[in-house]
Amino acid sequence: MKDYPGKILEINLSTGSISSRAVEIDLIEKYLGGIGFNARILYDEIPAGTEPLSEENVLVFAAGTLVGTPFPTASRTEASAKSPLTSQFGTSNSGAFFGIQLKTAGYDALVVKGKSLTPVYVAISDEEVQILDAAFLWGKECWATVDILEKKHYGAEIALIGPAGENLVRFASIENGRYDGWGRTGLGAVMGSKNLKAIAVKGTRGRKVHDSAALLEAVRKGQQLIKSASSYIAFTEYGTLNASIPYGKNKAISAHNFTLGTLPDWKEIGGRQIVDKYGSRHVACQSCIIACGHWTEIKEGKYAGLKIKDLEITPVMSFGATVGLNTEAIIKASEICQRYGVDMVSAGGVLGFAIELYKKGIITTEEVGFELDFGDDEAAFKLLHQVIDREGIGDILAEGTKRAAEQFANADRYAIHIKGMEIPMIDPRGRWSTWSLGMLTNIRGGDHLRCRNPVENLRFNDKDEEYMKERFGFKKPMYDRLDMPEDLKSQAIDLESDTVDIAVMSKWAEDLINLYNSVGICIRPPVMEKVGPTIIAEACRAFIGVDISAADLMKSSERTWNLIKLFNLREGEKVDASKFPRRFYEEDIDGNILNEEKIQAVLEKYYLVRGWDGRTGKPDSNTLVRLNLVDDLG
Amino acid sequence: MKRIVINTEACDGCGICQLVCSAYKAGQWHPALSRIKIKPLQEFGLNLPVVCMHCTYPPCEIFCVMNLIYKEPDTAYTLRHEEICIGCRACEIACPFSAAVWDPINEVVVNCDLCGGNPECVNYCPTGALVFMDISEAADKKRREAAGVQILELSRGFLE
Amino acid sequence: MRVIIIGNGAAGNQAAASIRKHSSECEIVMFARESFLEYSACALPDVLAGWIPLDKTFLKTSIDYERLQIKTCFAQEVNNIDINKQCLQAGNEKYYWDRLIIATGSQPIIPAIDGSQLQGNFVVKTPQDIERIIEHKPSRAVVVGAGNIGVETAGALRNRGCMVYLIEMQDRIMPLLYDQKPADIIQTMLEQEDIRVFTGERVTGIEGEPGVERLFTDQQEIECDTVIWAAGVRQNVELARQAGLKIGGLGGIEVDKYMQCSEPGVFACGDCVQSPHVFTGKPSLSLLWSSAKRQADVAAANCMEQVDEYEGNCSVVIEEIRGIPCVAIGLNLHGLVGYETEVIENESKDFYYRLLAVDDRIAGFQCIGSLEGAGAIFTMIKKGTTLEQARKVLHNKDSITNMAWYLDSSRYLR
Repeated sequence: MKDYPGKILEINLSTGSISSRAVEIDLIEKYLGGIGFNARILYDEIPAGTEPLSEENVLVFAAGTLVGTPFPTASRTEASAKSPLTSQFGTSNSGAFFGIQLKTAGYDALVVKGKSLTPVYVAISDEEVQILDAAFLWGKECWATVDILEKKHYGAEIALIGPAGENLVRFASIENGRYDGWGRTGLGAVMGSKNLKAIAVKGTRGRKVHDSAALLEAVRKGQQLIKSASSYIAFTEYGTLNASIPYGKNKAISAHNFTLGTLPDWKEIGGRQIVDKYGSRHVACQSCIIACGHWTEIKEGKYAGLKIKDLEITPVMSFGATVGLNTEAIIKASEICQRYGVDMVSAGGVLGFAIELYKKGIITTEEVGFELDFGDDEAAFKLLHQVIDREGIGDILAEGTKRAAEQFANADRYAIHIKGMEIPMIDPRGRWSTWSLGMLTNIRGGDHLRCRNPVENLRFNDKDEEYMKERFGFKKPMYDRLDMPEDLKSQAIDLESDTVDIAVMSKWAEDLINLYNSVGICIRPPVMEKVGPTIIAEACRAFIGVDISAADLMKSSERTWNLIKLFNLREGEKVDASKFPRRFYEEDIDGNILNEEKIQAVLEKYYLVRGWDGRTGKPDSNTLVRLNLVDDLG
Repeated sequence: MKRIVINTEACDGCGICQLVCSAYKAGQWHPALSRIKIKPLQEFGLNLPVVCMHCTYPPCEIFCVMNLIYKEPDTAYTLRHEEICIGCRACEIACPFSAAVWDPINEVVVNCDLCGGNPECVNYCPTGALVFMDISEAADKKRREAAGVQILELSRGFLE
Repeated sequence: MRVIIIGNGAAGNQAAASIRKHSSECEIVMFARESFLEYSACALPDVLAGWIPLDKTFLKTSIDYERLQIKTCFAQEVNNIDINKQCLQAGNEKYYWDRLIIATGSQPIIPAIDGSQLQGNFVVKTPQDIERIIEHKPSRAVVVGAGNIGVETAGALRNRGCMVYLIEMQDRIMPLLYDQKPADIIQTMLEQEDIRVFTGERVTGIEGEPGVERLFTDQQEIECDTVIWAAGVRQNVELARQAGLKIGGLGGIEVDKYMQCSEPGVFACGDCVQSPHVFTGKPSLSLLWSSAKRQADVAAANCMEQVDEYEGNCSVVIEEIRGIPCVAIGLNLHGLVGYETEVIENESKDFYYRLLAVDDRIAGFQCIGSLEGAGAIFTMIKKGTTLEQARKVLHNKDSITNMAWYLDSSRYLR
C-alpha cells in the first residue's frame, strides 16, 4: 500500500490546537505501531528531566498495527507517558474496544500535549475532534462518567480517569470503559495533571486492507494455532486464574506483603474454582477467541448485587494475597479500583505496605485513624479511599510505596517495589524463572507483564543454584512447534537437560511481548505459546502491504525495546537499580531466599545477549548500528 | 431451511463476526459495515448478536419503495437487488431486528444474504454462538432447552 | 377465476403479484388510465434532484407483466362498474369479473385560485410530471405545502440549483408528522440548505404572462417561475361512488379489515381507501407506499379465499436532509388531540427524539439524527406495546435474550 491510511492525531490542551499527520510507511516499517510509536514519539518529544506531572509531559495512545482486524486478540492499545511513579518510561496496555474505535476513526495514535486550565474532555468522531468542558464530570467516579458520556456520544468508547487521577495519585490508572484500564505506571495522574477527564472516540470509517483475502487467511490460521495451544481450553474456562494455585503451592505468592509465601486457605480464596462460584459468562475483548474475562456477580452477603467484568489473577493476588482479603472483598476491591481509577497492583502493594508498617508499629492508629490488619476488608477500603482522596495518611501513601517509605523511619524494608513500581503478585523466592528475571529487566519497573517464557510449565519448580536455568518441562513436539529461529531456539532451550536458558529466553520473550504490544495482540499464554513472528508477519504483510519478514518484526521490536531503554537511561536510570527489594535477599520463606550476586551474574549474561554494556546498562554501539538506531537518536 | 441460529449464552462479544462480514461484504473493515451486529448489554453482561432472520413475511419487502427485496424461491432467503436501491432507508424502520443495515459507502441498505449458503461469520465464530443449521432442528433444540423456563408472552418472535 | 384490478400503482401491482403467488392459474386483468408501466412515486424526488435517472423509477418492464401473466389494458379508462352483473365497461368492451380490486389511487390537488392553471404550475405524481418540471428549467420555485412530498421536492429542486421557497399553511412544516419542536429543528436544517421556509401563510394567487412570474400569499409576494403543488391529494373514488360503494367521511372508499368494500367480492386498497388507524381505531387515510402494499396483500389473500387481516394504518415517514435522517412514526400530538399524552423527549447536539405515549401505550415517535432503534419502536407501536412492557423486557435477562432487537430502543425508553 503506497499511502497508509492511518494518521497520528495531536491535541495540544494548552493552546487548544488540533492537528493530524499521516503515518509514514517508514515509521511503520521501523516501529510497527502500538508501543513502537509511543517509544518513538516520547523519545522525540519529552525533553530529559521533564517533571511527569507538568505541562511538558506527553501522553500517547497508540492502537496496535493489527487492531481493527479479526486477527485473534488484536484489540490492544498502548498508552505511554513519562511515569509519575517511576519517573521513567511509563506505559500500559489495554484491550477491549477503544483501539478499534480509534483506528476506525482514522487514527493509529493519539498524542496529548500541554495542559488545560480547566477540566476538559476530548470527543473524537472521525475528523471531528473537539475539546469540551468537563467541569460537570470532574470529581465523578468512572462508571457514572461513562454512563453520561455514553449517552452524550452514542457508540463511543471512552478512556477516562477517576477521582484518583484527578487527585494526582501517583499510581492512578486510566480506565478503558467501565471494566478495563491502562493500570500501571500512574498514567491516570498524567491525564489528571493535564486536566483531561476523558477521551471519547467513535470511528465510523471502514478500513481498507492491502490484501483482504490474505489477511482472512492469516486470521484463520491464527485462530487454529491458538485453539491448538495446550493451555487454550483452560484459559477459555478460567482465564489467568489458572496460575493462581501453582504459585500458591510453590509458596510464591505475595501473601501479606511478601512475608508468607502462601496462605492456608489460598485455594478457596484465589483458586480458579472461584470462577465457577462467582463468574457466569465469558466476556471477550475485540477479536479475541479466548475470552478469558468473566462476568462476575455476587449474589448474597455484604457485597450482594456487585457486578463487574473479570475475575483476574492480578486483583486476586494484589488484594487476596498481598492484603489478605477474602474472595468477595477482592471483587469489591476491583470495583473500587475501576470506579475510582487506581492501578490494582500498586493499590494492593500500597495497602499491604501500610498494613505491615502498622503491624510493625511504624505507623500508629492515631496516624491512620483506625486499626489496620491483613484480611480486614473494611479498614483496607477505608484506607484505599483515603489514598484516592489524598486524605490524612492517604496523602503520603498516594505517592507510592517508594516515596511513602521515605516519610517514615525504617520503612524502606517494607516497600516492595523495583524502580519505584510496586511488584505484582509473584514472589521470585518461591519460584525462579524467566518471569522473575523479567521483573528486573522490565523497562517499566517492577512488573510481570513484559517478559515471560512463552512455553512455561507451571507444574515444575526446579531450583537451579546458579539461577541460570529453569525447567523446560515439555516434550519435543512443543519444542518443534515453537515459532523461534532454530539457532536461537537451540541456545534458549536444551532438550537434553530439559532446561531453558533464562538470560537468552528473557531477551526473546521481551522482544516477543514487545512485538505483541506493537501489533496490538494479547499476551495470554495460549497466544504466547503459538503465535510467533511468522504468522504475525503474514498478517502484517496482508494488512499494510509492506514486505516484512518475521526477522524484521523481531528487529523492530528489539529496536523499540532499546529505544525505551535509552529513554530510561536519559532519565537517569542506574544499572544498580535493577534489583529486588532487600527483603528478597535477606528474609527467607521456608528456606527460600535469593542470592544477589548470582542473580547479578544472570543479569550480566542478559546484558551480553542484549548487546548492552554490563557496567552501564547502555546498548553498545554495535547494537545501535545493528538496529539502525543511530540516526534516530538525533 | 438452514439459517444462522444464535446461541446468546455463548456469545462473548469478541466482534470477529462483524469484522469478517464487513471484509467479505463491504471490502472494508468496520463493525458498522457488517450485516451482523453485536449489541452489548452491560446490565447483564450480555452480548446479543442480531442478524437478518429471513422472515417468512418480511416487513422490509412491504416497505421497499423500489420493490427490490424478494424471497429467493428455493432457499427462502430474503435478498435484495442492491443495485436498484435508492437509499430511502424505509426498510431499516420496517425491520424490528435492526437487521437492515445502512451501508454508508454505497449509500444503500443491505441485509445478510447468508453468503449464499456458507456464512463466513459462522465460519469464524470462535465460541459456537453462531451456528448455521436447519431451523426446525434449532426450534426443537430451543424448545427442549427452554422447557420449564417461563418466557414472557411478549417474547414470541416474528417468525411464523 | 378472473380478477380485475383497476389501477397500476403500488397497490394494484402488489395485489397482482400477491394473487399470482397464491395461484398460478387465476386470470388477472389490469386496467389503468395512464399508459406507463409501474413506477415508484417515492423515487421521483430523487430523479428531480438528479441523483438517479428517470428510467430507474420504473419497477416493471412489459415483459414482467407477461411473466406474471397479467393482461394489461393500459391507457384505458374504465367507464363504469356494474356490481350486480360483476361487469365493467371500458371503451366499447365489457369485462366480467369474479373478484374486483379497486386501486385507483389519488391525485394531487391544485386549488382553483387565480393563475393556478398558468404554465409553470406542476405536481409531483408521475414520471411525466418530473420530465415536465425538468424541461421547464426552473430557477426560482415555490413549493406549496410542506408535507413530506413538499419537503423532499424542495430539497430536490435546491439540489438542482434552484432558489426554493417552501410555503406551509399550518404553523409548522410537516404538521401531520412532527410536533412543533422537531419541526423547528428540521426547518432550521432546511434553511441551512438555503431553502426559504414560510409557515402560517396561505397562497392567494399567481400571476404571469404567459407563464408563472409571481406568487402571492396573504403576507408577501414572491417572484418565481415555477410553482409545485404539494398541498394534499384527493382520493380517486368516482368510479366506486358511481357503482354504489360506500364512501367514508374522509373521502376514501370504506373497507373492512379484509379490505372488502360494502359489496362482497369487491375489494379496494391503496390511496383510495380509508382504514382504521392502528392506534386509535378511527378511520384514517394512509397514502403511503408501504400501507398500499400491505393492504393489497390483504385484499389479494382474501380474494383468493385465504384469510388475512389488515392491522390498520400506521404512518412511517423518513426524510434525509443534509445527510441527517429524520423519522416520524405513528401519530404526533395533532393526531392525538383529545388523548392525554405523555411526552418523553431528549435533545443533544446532533440528536433529538420524542416518544408519545397514551395510557402508557406507545403512540408516536419522532427522531432526528439516527434511525437506530426506530424499527423496534415502530414494531412496538404496531403491537400496542406499553412502556411498562417494553421496560420489563429490557430489564429481564430471559426476555431480552430472546428479543435482542429491543435493545436499540432502550435509549428512548429509559
